Amino acid sequence: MSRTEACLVEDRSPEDRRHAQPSEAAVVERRGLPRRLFLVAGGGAAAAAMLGVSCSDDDRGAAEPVTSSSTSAPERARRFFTPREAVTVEAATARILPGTPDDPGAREAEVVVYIDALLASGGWASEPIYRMPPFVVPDEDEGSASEEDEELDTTSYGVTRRPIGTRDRWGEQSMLTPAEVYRSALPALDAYATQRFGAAFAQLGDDQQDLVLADLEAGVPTNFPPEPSSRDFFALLRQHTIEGMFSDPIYGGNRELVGWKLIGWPAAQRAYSVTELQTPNPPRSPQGIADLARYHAGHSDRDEPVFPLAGTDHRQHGGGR
Amino acid sequence: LSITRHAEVDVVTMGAGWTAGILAQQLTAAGKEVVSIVRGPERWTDPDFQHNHDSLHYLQRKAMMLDISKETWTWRPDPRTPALPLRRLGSFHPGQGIGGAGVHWAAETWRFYPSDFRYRTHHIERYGERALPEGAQVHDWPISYEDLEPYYDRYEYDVGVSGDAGNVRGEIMTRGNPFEGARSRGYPLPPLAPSLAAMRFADAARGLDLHPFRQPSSILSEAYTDLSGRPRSGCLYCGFCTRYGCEVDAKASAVVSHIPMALETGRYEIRTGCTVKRVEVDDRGRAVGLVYADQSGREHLQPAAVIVLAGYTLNNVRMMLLSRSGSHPDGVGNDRGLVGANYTYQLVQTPVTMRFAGERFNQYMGNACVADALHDFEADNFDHTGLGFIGGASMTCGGGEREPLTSVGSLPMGDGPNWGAPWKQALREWDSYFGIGIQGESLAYPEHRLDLDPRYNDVYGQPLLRITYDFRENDYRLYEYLAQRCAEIATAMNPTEMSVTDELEPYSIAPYQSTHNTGGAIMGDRPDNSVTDSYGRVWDTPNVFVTGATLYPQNPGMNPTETLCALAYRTADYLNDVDLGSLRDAFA
Repeated sequence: MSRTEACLVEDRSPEDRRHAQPSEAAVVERRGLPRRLFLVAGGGAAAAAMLGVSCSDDDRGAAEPVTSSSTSAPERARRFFTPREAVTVEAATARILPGTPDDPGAREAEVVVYIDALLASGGWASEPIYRMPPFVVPDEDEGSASEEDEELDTTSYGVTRRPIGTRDRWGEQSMLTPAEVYRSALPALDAYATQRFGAAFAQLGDDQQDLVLADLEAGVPTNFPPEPSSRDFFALLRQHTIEGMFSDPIYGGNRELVGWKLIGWPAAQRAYSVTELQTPNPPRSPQGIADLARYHAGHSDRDEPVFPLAGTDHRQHGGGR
Repeated sequence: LSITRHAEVDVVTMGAGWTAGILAQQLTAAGKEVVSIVRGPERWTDPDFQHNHDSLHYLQRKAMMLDISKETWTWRPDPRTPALPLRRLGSFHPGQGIGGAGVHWAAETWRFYPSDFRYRTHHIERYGERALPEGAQVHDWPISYEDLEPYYDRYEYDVGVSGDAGNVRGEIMTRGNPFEGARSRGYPLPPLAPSLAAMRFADAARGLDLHPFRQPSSILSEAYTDLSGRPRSGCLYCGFCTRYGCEVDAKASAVVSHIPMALETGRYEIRTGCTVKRVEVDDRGRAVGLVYADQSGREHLQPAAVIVLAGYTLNNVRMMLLSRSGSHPDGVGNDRGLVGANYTYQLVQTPVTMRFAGERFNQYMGNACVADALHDFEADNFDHTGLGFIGGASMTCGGGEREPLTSVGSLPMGDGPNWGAPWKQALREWDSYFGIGIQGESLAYPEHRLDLDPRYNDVYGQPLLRITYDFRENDYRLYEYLAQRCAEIATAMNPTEMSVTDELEPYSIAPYQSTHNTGGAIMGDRPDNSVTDSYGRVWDTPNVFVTGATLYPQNPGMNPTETLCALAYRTADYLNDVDLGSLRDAFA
């Protein structure tokens, strides 16, 4: 077996891998992750089933969503998250996009409710992902690559050296689902917060939380596994904050359209006139797709024109200008 | 395992996008029977594109794109590096289903330059052979701009293209692109309205004695009755365009015009949810039909006199390579090993981003085509003497359809973190910044190839296509020159702040760039320099045709769609003029 092939996790059972590939066994131990994570190596298991297997936190709460609006967002973000996870995620997203009741941010938009719903639905499945093996195993020394190593070392790709940034050229290669990333990274986040400031992340003050998140983004914590690294987790959390803040409220976040109001996006509008396009007026009030009336209700005959016809000078095929 | 054999038809196509739709409409109108095999679903303006203003679903989750959980591509920058699969859609967005990627396209519509068709000859004549980049495979097309002009014209009037002409029968029109090849008449419709940013850009460019013009577009600027005889609405500037189907049919696609017309004849059938697995070949090396799997996995053979590979560029090449047989051991079209060669892409980048404090530009309205374009530094429209590269890039500025999910994560933050309080402050200026984009041309090199991946498979166990591609010296120099020109125009626009990326980063398959993959089964004038003739007829399997950008010898710096539609019309004329049965035999 060439060194190149050795860097790829073949589609075998975990036991086979441990026996056949000592280097992989080393990776498993380094990570210190529960063995259950490797059940996904085959890539075919349904996310929901996997989540059931991997959910072992002692403090996991009710599986059913709580919908009463009198409860807090973390209390309603409980289809996937445990109570502790929900509070931590809310706190972290509230530092990525901070706010107050008068100037809403991720907390006020209830981004945590969006993320919870996404993960409970097997969120990774809503964007198609190619999940066939073999997967690339992250390089343990990724963070220590020097400037001279900018060119990929092809013979050992993924095994001993993978310089910073090169992985980005191939795009996401992780075998982990977003749900697995959260389940693995949130305890590591709290452990790092405790190590640095003596308390779980959600208990820290804003400035301390910002320092912890900056460390995550920079890859400083050493208690995260190679995958998801603290950088992987921060990037996912930021991406999900964006989605929960700025997607349609039907998905659970962007409460009262606060995200769209922040940036001045009218969102689901049917049409703009040329005059509007070319006039720098303040934006229209935003609306979601639920507010968008059907354009030509009851009209389904494709042989008929769609009315109203925009444009004043109706031209015919074949006619010149 | 048994295979269901269907009755033979005149023509079977893989795919039902732009080129298959044009072929089906043109051939069924002449009495031919056509079947298309499509892996995606059926979808129509009503009801499928109604009520679709949901950017999480269509942009972030890419609802209309190819389902890459079943089949993707692997990529490596060079042959010495392992190829890894693209696990989430990135650099390009092929489609699936009726209409293909031509449903969710941006509808920027270009004729290529006369010099693009005689690329090699033109450059040697003007600059000498030594000007050609070392190692580059620089080809002439087997047809000229003049050969294709009538077909460009047909496309523009059949679907309704909006724009300002720049050259009508040799007369230069100042509102249009003064560099374009001569056209027999102007566009059928005036251009779409320009955005505020486009107007700002155009003013600055004119002040520098450059020649900005309105982006030509297959989006109706006014109501228009297309070739089907059906009046369609002009654009409503709703802001949900690229990556969506148009809910009022203002954006042209095969679903809007050609496919319904073909279906109305009763001589066209589309089988959705069916994945083509190979071109079936007989022991004399002639193609028999397409073998495909239906949704339950059962295999079918659809025999036809003529087989057309009319899928996306990359899948056409893959299907040729997968169609291995005793008579074509390396795949259909590949007897000389040229399938997969001349793969080219593009340089789609935004070298300059500007911020205009306190101003808003309504960039969430409109579509990609409310931009202005500038071709002073495109193709060979400028003197390349001493520049150290050939080719150029089109510049555009002021496209609309901005929405947050794909933009707030990349606000220009300078040295600050792109999260927390500084980021929130920048978000308040979300509509106050915009960039100048370039679309640069791409040459072919021997190392850049498409072939079958030795490791990764699709859900049927067939190998994925492997892409070997990276930017080259000509690209880096071209980019550097264009970035400087963008910066000059941006400076003249007098922004509060601007950031310039003056050097090109190596190619990455992760971020979206353009769905303009080209080449892999190029057309030419001889079997030893190409896979097909100018009609897309495969030299070594002459009843197989290939359509689309697969045929382009190198990639110009413009969107590829109008040219591949024009080529499809030309191939349709050819097929309507010959006895289809005679095509099984060798070239005359």
